[in-house]
Order: sequence, then structure tokens, then C-alpha cells
Amino acid sequence: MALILVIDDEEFVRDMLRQMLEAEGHSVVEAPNGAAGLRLLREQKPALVITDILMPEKEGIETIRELRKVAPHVKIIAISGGGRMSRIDLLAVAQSFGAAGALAKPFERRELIDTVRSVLAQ
Amino acid sequence: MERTAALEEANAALRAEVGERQRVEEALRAAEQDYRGIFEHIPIGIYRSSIEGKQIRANPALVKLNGYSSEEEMLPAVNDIATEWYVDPHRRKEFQRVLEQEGSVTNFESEIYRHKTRERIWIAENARLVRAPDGAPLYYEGTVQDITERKRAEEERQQLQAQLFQKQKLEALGTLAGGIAHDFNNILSVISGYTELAAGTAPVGSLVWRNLQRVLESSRRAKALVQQILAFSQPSRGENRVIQLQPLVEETLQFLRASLSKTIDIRCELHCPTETILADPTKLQQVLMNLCVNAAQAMERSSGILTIGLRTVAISKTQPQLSVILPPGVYFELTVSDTGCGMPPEMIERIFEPFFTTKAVGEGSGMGLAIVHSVVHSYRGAIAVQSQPGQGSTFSVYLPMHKSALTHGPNAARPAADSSPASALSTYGRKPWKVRRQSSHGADSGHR
Repeated sequence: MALILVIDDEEFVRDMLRQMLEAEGHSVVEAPNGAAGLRLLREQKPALVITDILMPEKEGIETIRELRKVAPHVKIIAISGGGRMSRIDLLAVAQSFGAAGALAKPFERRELIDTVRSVLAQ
Repeated sequence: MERTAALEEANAALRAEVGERQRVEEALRAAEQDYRGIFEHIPIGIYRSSIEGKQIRANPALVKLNGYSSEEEMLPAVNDIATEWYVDPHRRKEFQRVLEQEGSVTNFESEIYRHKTRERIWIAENARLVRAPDGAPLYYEGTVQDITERKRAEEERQQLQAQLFQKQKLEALGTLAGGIAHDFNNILSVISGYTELAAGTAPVGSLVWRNLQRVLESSRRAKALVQQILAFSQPSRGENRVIQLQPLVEETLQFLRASLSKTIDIRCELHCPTETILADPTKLQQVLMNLCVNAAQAMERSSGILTIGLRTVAISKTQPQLSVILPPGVYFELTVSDTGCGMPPEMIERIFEPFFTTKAVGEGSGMGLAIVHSVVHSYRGAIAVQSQPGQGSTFSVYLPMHKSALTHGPNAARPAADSSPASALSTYGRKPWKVRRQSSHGADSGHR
């Protein structure tokens, strides 16, 4: 089981992800924005980061780039509401910045668990 | 002597009078020739017509405007100007009403038939009512000018303005829909996520569990709807590649044959076996699927014929309406025609708007044609609609052909002939064709 950092500006999304991930036996730390996420990344050294890529404060892509600088080997799953990006774009962008997986909101619990499992196994 | 002198004086007076009369007659002849010259040679129609609607006089310009070769040929042929000349006979009544009240009319515009050929043209009249000394109306006289070119230019400009307005409206709706979709996805993920968590704690099969499953099912439907909105609002991205269009159309039709009602007779007229297009095949399939499903729904109350056509057309500056919208070049013309219920003009105006639907609640999202519009636009194409209530509909999609295909293949592009889009545009009368430059894809569409 792994320590997972969840970065999303929506409190309910973070809480929902926490409950789903904890039910699978993972530990979860939460950050409401990219800056707080970077701090937690340095302090807690999670095995996996799940980050929204369309957060208002710090664009998600920038967050992924900075996460990479701080922890070059951390595994990342990008999530997005897709308002400006289709699922295909999201995957392409996330992969080009080194995210190992991507999820388009709204996703089902099964999709989340499967993606987390496969990324952690990589 | 006195008598002789008187006679000579009388003779001189008579000679003077004869001379004067000759001069007057000469002047009259010259004046008549002058006026006749104007009447005969002026390029504006001049007429005199009876109150009852007979033609009394017509100058050569008016004779020619009506398709005749002489006044002698034309005058006996005209029996009732109101019904034979005016496309709308009420226009003659209005003309007469104004003359009766005002005594004259200026720039009175009407659509008329060239009397002999029955071709429709637009004219402007200036006329006056001539009355007897007692005030009784005698006849009308006036001028007629052909203003068809000006009217067509005006109509074209109005159509272009309407198209521009429609395009801007759809773009604004797309931006709005995209923004809403993003927020809605966030909200939906919270609803469905917590519902899954709650359902996980309820005994499987319990009332609470079953109710939560219904929330989940509704969330999935909402998710599908949001995806359709996004498909409309986002420009085509996907994977564009060079593909042959006809095999893609054939493959889509195979699927449609299996899924549409057996009462629908599907016919194909495909003439582009090798020509290629640069596009995302899934988006093109969605365009065709949406148009065909719509066509099938327009025929659902009875059997009907669904015809899918594919050919290439060369759009040039000689086809004013399409060439304004599309840059000159070679295009695929993909047509989907049905024999279904058709649409009135006011419905055609709105069918590409997102969420416009005439289907019952729950039967269609109203996104299908909006998505077709969005996809076609993203490929720098255009879509034209021709429809009349009770007479079916034809959607014509124009998509630019990939350039490499111009150099080979037995089916090189043919210039659009009589049945070309432009001639169809002018043949079908007032504004049955709505052409818009478009845009992406979707499932049901919602119109009709």
C-alpha cells in the first residue's frame, strides 16, 4: 500500500478520493493547490501524486512540471474536468510531461482503483 | 384697283398663315420624332395600361423585358396584368390602391413574371393615374426598371449577414457550453463518487442500495450528455490522417443497415472510390451517423428512402453563395436525403443550435446536429440544408479533398454542373438552402 498525495482545489473531490483510496488500504495526504502540493511532496515523499490539471491557482501542467523537478521519479496521475481538453488531449499532455496515467472527470471508482494499481505497478 | 389691292393683301395673309401652319406642323413632327426616339430607344420600360389590366402601349424595352419581339405580339397576349404579371396578384391591388389615393407611385418594387417566358424577375415601377376632366380614372402610365441583380445582391448580403450572426451565436454557445461542462464534470464526479462510496456501505439489493444505483445510472447519463456538449464545443483535435472517404462511408452504412428500422430503404450513390481526406475517421463517422439517424427519425412514422451520396465538386468563384463561404477548391459533397416529414424554414434556422430539439423529452439531447456543425466547421467545410414540410430533407456536407488526391485516381474532380450546389442554391428559390461554414460529432441530433 502506498502514500498518495491528492491535489485538487475542490474539497469534495479530495475527500471523495481519500475515502476511495483509503478503502483500498492506501494512505492519503491532501493539498488544495499546486504550491501546497509541492510542500507536501517535499515533506512526505509520497509514492504517487494524483493532481487536477485545471486548477485555478496554478495551472496543472505547471504543477506537474514542478513536481517533476522536486521529485523526478514520483509517479503522477493527471485528472481533469475536460472543459478545455478532451480525454485524448488530456492523456497526450499528461504523458508528455511524464504523468503515468490520466483520468477524465467524472470517473468511476473502478477506473480510479485500476489506474492507481497499474501506475503503482509500473 | 382697290379690290385688287384687297385681294393681294388677303393672299399675303393666307400665305403667311399657311407658312405659319407648315412651321408649326414641322415643329410638331420634330417634337414627335424627338419623343418617339426617347420612347423607342430608352432602356427603361414605358407603358400605358388600362384600369382593368390590359396593356395599351409598351415601348421596345418593356416588350423585351417581357420576352416578346414586338409590341404587336405583346399587347394582345396580356389579358390580366394582376394575375399574369405579378407573382403575388395582391401586389397589383396595392399598386392600384396607392395610385387611387396618391395619384402616383415611385420605386414600387414587385416580383413579376416575364410575360412570355414566365421567368421570375424583380422590377421597380414609377407610375401615375391619368384621370378624365370629371375625375374618372382613365388609365395608368409609367416606367418599369429591371432590378433583379440588385435584389439578388441584397438577398445574398442578407443571407451572409444571417450566416455570420448564426456562426457567432454558435461559437458563443460553444464557449459557454464548454465552460459549463468543465464545472459540471467536477460536480458530477462528486455526485457519482460519493454515491459509489455510500452504495458500498449499503447491503447489496437493499432499498437504499437500489436507490443509490439509480443515482449512479442518472450520473452516467449526465456524463454522456456532458461529453456530447464537449464534442460540440471543442474544435476537432483527435487524430487527423489521410484516409479514403468512400470506404469509411461504406463501413458506416453497414453498421447503419443493421441498426436502422427495416422499413427504411437505404440507397447509395457513391462516386469517389479513391479520393482522400485529411480528417479523424471517428469524427467523420459520427457526422454521417448523426445525419442518418436524424433522417431515419424523420421517417419513423412510415417507410421511406434514405439516400447517401458522395461525389466531388469544384467550388469556384462562379458559384457565388458557396464560394463566399468556401475557398475555391475541390470538395467532397456528402449528401444525406430522406423522404420524411421535412422542416419549415423557421426550424431550419435553428437546427444547428445546441439543445434545439423537436423530439419528446428524453428522446434526444438536441446535440447531434450541433456536433455535425462543429465537426464540419473544424475541417473548414460547410453544410447546406434543403427541406420543405412533407417533402423530406437533404443535408449536403462539403469537406475539402486532400490535395494529393488531385493528381491521381480515375474519379478526378468534376466541375459542378447543373446539379451543382450553386445551381441548386439558385434553383430552389427563395432561401431553402442554408449554408454555413462549420465544425465535430455526436449521437442523436434532435431536430424534426
